[in-house]
Amino acid sequence: MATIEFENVSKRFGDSVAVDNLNLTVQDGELLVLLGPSGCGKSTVLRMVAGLDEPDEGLIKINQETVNDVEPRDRDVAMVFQSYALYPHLTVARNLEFPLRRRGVEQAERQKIVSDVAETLQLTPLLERKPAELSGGQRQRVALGRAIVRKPSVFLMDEPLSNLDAALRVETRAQIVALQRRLMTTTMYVTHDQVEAMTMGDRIAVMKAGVLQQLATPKVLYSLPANVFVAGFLGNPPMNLLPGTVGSSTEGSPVIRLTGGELPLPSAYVGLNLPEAVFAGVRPEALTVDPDGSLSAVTTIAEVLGSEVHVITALPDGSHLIVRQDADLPIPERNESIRIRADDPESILLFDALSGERVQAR
Amino acid sequence: MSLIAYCFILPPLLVFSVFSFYPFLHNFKEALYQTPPYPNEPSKYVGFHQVAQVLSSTQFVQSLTTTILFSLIVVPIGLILGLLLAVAANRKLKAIGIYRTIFSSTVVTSVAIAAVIFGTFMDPVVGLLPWLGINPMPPLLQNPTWALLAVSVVTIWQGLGLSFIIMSAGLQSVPEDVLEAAEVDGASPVARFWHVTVPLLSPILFFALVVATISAFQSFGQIDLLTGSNSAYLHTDVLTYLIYQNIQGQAPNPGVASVLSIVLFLLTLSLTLIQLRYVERRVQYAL
Amino acid sequence: MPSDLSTISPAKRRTNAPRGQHRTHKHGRWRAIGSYLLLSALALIVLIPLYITVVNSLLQGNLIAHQPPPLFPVHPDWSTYSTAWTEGDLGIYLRNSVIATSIIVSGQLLTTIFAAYAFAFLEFPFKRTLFVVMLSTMMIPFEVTLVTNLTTITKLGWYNTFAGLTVPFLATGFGTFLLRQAFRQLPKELREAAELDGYGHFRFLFRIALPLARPTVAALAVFSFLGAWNQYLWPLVVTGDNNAIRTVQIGLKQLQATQANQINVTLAGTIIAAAPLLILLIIFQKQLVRGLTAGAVK
Repeated sequence: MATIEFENVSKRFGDSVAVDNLNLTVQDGELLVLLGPSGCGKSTVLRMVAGLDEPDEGLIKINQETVNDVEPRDRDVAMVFQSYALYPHLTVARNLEFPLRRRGVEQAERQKIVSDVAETLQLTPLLERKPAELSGGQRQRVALGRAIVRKPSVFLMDEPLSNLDAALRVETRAQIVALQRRLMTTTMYVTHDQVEAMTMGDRIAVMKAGVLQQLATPKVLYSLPANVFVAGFLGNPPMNLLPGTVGSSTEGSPVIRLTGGELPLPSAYVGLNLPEAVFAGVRPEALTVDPDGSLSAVTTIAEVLGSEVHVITALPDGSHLIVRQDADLPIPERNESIRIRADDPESILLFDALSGERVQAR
Repeated sequence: MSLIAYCFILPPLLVFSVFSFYPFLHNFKEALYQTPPYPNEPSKYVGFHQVAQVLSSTQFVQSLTTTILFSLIVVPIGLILGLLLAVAANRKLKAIGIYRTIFSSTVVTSVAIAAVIFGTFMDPVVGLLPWLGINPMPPLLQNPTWALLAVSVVTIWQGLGLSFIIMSAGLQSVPEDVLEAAEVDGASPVARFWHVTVPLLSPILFFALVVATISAFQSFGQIDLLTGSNSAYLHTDVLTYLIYQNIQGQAPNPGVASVLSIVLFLLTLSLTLIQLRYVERRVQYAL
Repeated sequence: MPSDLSTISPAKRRTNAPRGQHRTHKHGRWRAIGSYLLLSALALIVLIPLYITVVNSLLQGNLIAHQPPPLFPVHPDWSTYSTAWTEGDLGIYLRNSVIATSIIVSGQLLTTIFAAYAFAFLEFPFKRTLFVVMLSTMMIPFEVTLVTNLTTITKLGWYNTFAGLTVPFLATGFGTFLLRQAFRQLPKELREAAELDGYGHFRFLFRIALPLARPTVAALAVFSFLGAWNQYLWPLVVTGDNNAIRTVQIGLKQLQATQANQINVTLAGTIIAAAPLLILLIIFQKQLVRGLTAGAVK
C-alpha cells in the first residue's frame, strides 16, 4: 500500500527539460496512466520513481517519505520495461526468482511464490526455458511476473504492451487491469496509446513537453479537456477545434461565428466575460450532416470504417472539420458541398485562442 | 564471370600458398630430416627419430612448461586488469574519452618498445625497481627465479590496451535496461556485476581468453630483448623463442624448428577448435 | 569498491530522450569526483612507464644513474633525440618502417578488397571451398611457417630486401572475411540497380560497394597498419644485419645493444619509435577499436 507524490519535480538532460515542475499525487491502490506523445517526459517521471533517474529539483515521496536519496533497490518498487529487460542468461524460473533471491527470501518460499506467479500468468510450462526461446507475449508475461513476485508497494510499467501485436495488446491490457484490481497495488503506467490509457487508467495524467497538462478520470478528460492539446490528443478522430469569435446572430441570440457559419453558444457560457478569439471544440460524434445545418463545408474524403464513417470536410478557410456518423446514413460525395449541424449545442466547449486553455463555464 | 572471380582471388591465394600452406605442410617433411652439425652437409632422413628426440628432450619439456606457465601468468592477470579498467571507464562522465585513450594506449606500443622501457626499469644500476627496493641478486633479468615474472610484467602492460578495448566493447554490449531491471529488482552493485554483467559478458570473456592465450604462445620480442640468449638458463625460453634459436641461433637446426612449429600449431589449433565449438553453441543459444 | 561498480551501465539506450549523466544530484556529484580520482589514478599507473621514459630520455648522461630519479626533466637535454636519430640510425629505421608498413597495408587492402568482392558478389565453382581455404589461414600462426619461409625468401633472393620483409603479408584471411561480411550486408538491390545502370565490376566496386563499406575498410587499414608496424620476429629474421632495410622495432634492439652505456639515448629512440603510433591512436581510435573488436562483439 502506497501513495506517490511529486512536489515541484524538475529534470533536465543537458539543455532539454524532460520534466518541468511536476506536482502530482498517485493515490493508494490507484492505476494512474501517464499519457503523452514520445519525448514528453512521461518515462522520465516513471524512472524517477524507480530511482533510475534523479530529479534536479523537487521531492519525490513514496508513502509520505522522501525517496530522492534512496537507492532503487531500497524503494520497494517493481518495474516492467518496454523491452522487458529479461535476464537473457537465466531461465524463466530464475528470472522470476531473481528479485526474491536478491532480497534473501528462503528457497522453499521462493519456489512457492514462483510457482504461484507462474500459475497466475500461465507460465508454468515455460519455467525452464530461456527468454530467447519465448514469444513476445510470453516474454511480456515473464516481465510482469518478475514485477509481481515480491509484492512491491508500487508497480511501474513503461509501455509494457508496445512490442505486442494488436490482438495480444487488447487481451493483455485486460489482464493487467484485472491483476492490478486484484492486488490493489499502486501502479503508474506509461503509454502513448490513448486507447490503452482510457481503458486502463483510474486517472490519466496527460503530459506534453515535460509539463503536466491535465490529471483527471478518463471520463472527465474526454468530456472536459483542460486545453486544446488534451482535446486534440484524445479521441479518434479527435475533437474538432474551430477558430471563431463570440457574437450575436441576426436574431440577437449569442453564437460562435466560424468561417463556415455559426454555432449556438452553449447556455453555460452565456453572460460570461468571454475572450474575443476562441476555439470551438466539438466532438465529431456530436455533429451530423444535415441540409438544415448551420455550418457549410466541402467534403474532402469520407473514410468508411465498417460500422461508422468519418466524413472529413473543409471549412471555407481550409481548416478541417470531421463528422463521425453511422455507416447506414448516406455518405457525402467527394467535393460535395454539405451543411452540418451540432446535435447537442450544449456539449460545445470554448477554448481561449491565445492561451489554449478551456474557458470555464458556469 | 568465373574467370574474373578467379583473377580476384588469385593474388591472396598465391601468397597463402607460398607463405602459409606450403611452409606449414613442409614442416611435416622437414621434421623427419636431420641437419648434421657440420656446415654444407645435406640433411638426411631420420624418420620419427628426430621427433621423438625433440619431444623427449629436457629442453623441449622445459620450453613447453615455460610457455604454459607464462600464459597462465600473463593471460588471466591481463584480462582481469583489462576488465577492471573497462569497468572503471564505463561511465558517463565528461572527458571520459581521454581516459579511454590513455587506457588503450599500450595497444600501439610494440613489444619492442615495452621491452626497452621495462628493461630500463629493471636495470640493476639505473633502474626504477632497484631504487624501489626490488633488487635481487643476480639482477631481475639475469635471475632464473625472477626473469619469467619480469617478462610477464612487460607482456601484461603491453597487452593491457587490447584487453581494455575488448572488455570495454563487451561491457557496452550488456544492455543497460537489463542492468536497470536488476537495480530495481534489488541487486546491489556487486550483485549486478556478478549476476548480470559477468554472465552476459562470458562469451566475450571466453573469446578474449582464447585469443590472449594464442597470442601469449606466440610471444617472442620481449623475451628476445630482455633475456635473449640466456633464455634457456633463465627459464624464459618459450616455444617461439626455441624455434627462433633453431633457425638463427648458434647451431641452426631446421628439423628441430619444424617439430617445434608443429607443436605450436597443435596448441593453437586445439584452442581454436574449443573456440569454434563454443561459438557454435553460442549461436544456437541465440536462435 | 561497490560504488565503483554501480555505474557499469554503458551508453546504450533505446529511448530517444537524451539522458546525460547518470544521477547528477547531491551524492551524484561526490560520486563523479570519486570516479575522476579513481580514473586518474589508473591513468597514472598506465602512463607512468611512458612518462618516466620521457623524463629519463631527457636526462643528461651523467645524471642517468642519479638516485632517486627526478620527477621532472629539470634541465632537459634534447641532444639525446638527435643522437638517437643520427648515430642510432633511427631516421633510417623509421623510414624503413614507413616503407614496409605502407607496402603491407596497401597490398593487404588491395588483395583483400578484390577477394572479398569475389566472395561476396560473384558466383563461381568451388567458391565455398576456396573461402574455407582462405579462412583456414587464420589457424596457422606465422611463427609456425617461419622455418620454411626463411628458406623460400632466401631462394627467391629476397633476403634483406623490402620484398622479403613484406610479400608474405600481402594477404589476410581475417581481413577478407571481415570485408566480405561488410559487402554482404549491403542490400542486394544495389548490385542489381548498378547492373541495370550498366556498371561493370570495377565501377560497382569502387563507386558503390567500397564507399559504403568504408568503416570496415578503415578499421582494416588501421588494424593492418598496427600489425605491420609492430612486427618483430619476421623483420629480425629476414633483415639480418642490414641497416638499410631494418625496421624501427629491430632498430630498438640495435640501439639497446650499441648504446648500452647511453640509456638516455636508447630511451629517446624508444619515444621516437612510439610517438607515430600514439599520435595515430589519438586520431584513429574509433577505427582501431572497431578493427580490434570485430571478432569479439557482433
